[in-house]
Amino acid sequence: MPTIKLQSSDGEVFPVDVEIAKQSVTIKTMLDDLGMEDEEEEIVPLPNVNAAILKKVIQWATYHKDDPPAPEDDENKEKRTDDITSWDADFLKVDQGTLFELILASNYLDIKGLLDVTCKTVANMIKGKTPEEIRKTFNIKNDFTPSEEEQVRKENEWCEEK
Amino acid sequence: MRWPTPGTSSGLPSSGLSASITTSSIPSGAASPAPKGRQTLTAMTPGDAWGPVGSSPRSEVRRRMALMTQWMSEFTPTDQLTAFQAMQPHLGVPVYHWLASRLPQHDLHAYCPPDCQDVLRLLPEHLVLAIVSYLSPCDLARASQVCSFWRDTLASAWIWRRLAGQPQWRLSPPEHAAQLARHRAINASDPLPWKQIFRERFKLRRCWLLGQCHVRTFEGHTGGVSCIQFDSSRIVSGSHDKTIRVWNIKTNSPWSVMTLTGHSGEVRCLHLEGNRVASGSTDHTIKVWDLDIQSAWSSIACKVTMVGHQDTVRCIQMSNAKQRVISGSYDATLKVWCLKTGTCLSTLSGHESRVLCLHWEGPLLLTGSSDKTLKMWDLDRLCCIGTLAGHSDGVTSISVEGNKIVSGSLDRTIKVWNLATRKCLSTLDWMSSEGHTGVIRCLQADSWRIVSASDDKTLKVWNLESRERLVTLKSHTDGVTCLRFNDFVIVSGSYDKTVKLWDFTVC
Repeated sequence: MPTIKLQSSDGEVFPVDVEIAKQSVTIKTMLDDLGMEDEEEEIVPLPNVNAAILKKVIQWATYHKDDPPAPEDDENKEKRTDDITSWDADFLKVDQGTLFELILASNYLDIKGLLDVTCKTVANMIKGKTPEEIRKTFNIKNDFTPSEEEQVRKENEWCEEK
Repeated sequence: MRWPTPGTSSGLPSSGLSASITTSSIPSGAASPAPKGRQTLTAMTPGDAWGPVGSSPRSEVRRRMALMTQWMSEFTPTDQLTAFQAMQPHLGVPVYHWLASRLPQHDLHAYCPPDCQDVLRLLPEHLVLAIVSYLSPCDLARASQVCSFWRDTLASAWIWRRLAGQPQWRLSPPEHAAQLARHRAINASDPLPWKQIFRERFKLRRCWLLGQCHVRTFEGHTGGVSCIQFDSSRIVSGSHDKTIRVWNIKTNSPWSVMTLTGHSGEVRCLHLEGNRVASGSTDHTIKVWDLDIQSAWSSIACKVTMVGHQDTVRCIQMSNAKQRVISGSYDATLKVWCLKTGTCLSTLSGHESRVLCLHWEGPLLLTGSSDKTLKMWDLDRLCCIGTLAGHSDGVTSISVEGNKIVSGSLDRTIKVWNLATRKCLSTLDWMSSEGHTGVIRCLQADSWRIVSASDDKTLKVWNLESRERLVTLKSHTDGVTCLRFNDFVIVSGSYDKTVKLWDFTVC
């Protein structure tokens, strides 16, 4: 199977099966445009992804290489977050910094499946929580004055009414 | 829009979503107070920053810069961000290039504290929106209370507009237009307040889900009510007492405003369109009435009588645009009539027993019959193009929503069918779905719900997608024979001789 070499922002080079790398639309487009498939020694520089994150992305893409293409978003449907597979859930048991880097990397590399599952994971960190619990989760300072806080609570209490 | 004065935390909306920030009105600033503090943003446009500002001399630029620098140093970090976000659409490539060159490894988070984990600040706007699109309205409302940055980011019109467009919160096209027009009228110059618009729809839907409604009862018929229609100002009901009554929906007077007499038998079906009503009766005839006239002249309201059916006319639909009436009868046939002349144009045969219900949409006609089947007809070619079998008794009602047909039957079940494949997708019955314990007399579906009425004296509201029973409504003292609903109300008629209006907007 032909391979290509992906180079992270910090210079590390990862040989990857072309078919696995092509889950990234960014890389696929690059290869298709340049017709680079046969040139074994070609190195693809990825200046926006560091080695630690690139390694994770390749790990994910390798596991998911036989997946069908991710479905198109249907704006009419309520989006679910409870359909993350257990492999993905384990894979994404990482610190928040890594999770956010993975979102940025999957966005840059245009890997829809990974972007969807990482965004869902972050959404699940917000879902069902009180404002205070969300602040704790993301280490956010409450910058409201008491009167502002009362006002914003009033503006949003419609969701709590029974 | 006002430039924030030093030390205040109000001022410009600081949404991180540039689409929702309109800073174009800032430079004019004619109505802005505090002439000393007022500055135009032109001074910050990169192309002009080091050259003359319009006709301003260099000294004026320096004065303005000094003022801005002073402001920035006095601002709280939140105010600084707000100010920067307001200026962001006016910044050009050289500014970003300079910014990037100032940061180690070109990393915009290089100066963040090590515990910087605020996902909404960290990620670019389109990724924030991708994450936020997974949140429910309640999650969004709670998250809006986290801090000012989250409040402003989550106030984005895009988020709430998207939610308001989802099937469960969608209004019918005329009501959707009416709601937007109402908000435009309140403040014509502002962009539509989508969060507010969504909140109204959310509250309305919650009333439906909880069955919270105000019930009004219209009494007057001396026999059971068999059919019903309504629009924004009136309810039209047909009864076993041979009359049609037109009730005023807007006043609270419980007596009818108009009684239409003329049928010599029970009125079995009605269709209201504009100011016209078509009615069918056990006297085998169809009558078309004009409601435009004064109530005292009701005897001349009947414009046309259509004679041709050999038995009770049980279902009817009229189109003023197409100038046609289609009727179904106990004589097992369907007839297409000319609305103006009252002549029968064609007769469709195929059902083996009484025709009980019909639904007409474009060239497609769907009918239900005592022969336990639904039939699909092509009105252009005037032929039957399909038969849906599955009910174990007569089919009393049909509704079509998108690619789904919903049917109700004397067998006490509701069936949902795929319009294209004609396959039955599910059956809602008493045993497995907490359905009706009596025969189903009537139902209607829209983008997210089904409402059904039964001899068991109740109305039930169902989720069209999940087929889950949401609410059972009880108030009638006898079987419910007919219903119609819109986004806000259900109107129902019963053997108990009353018409009831279930209003979900008042709670």
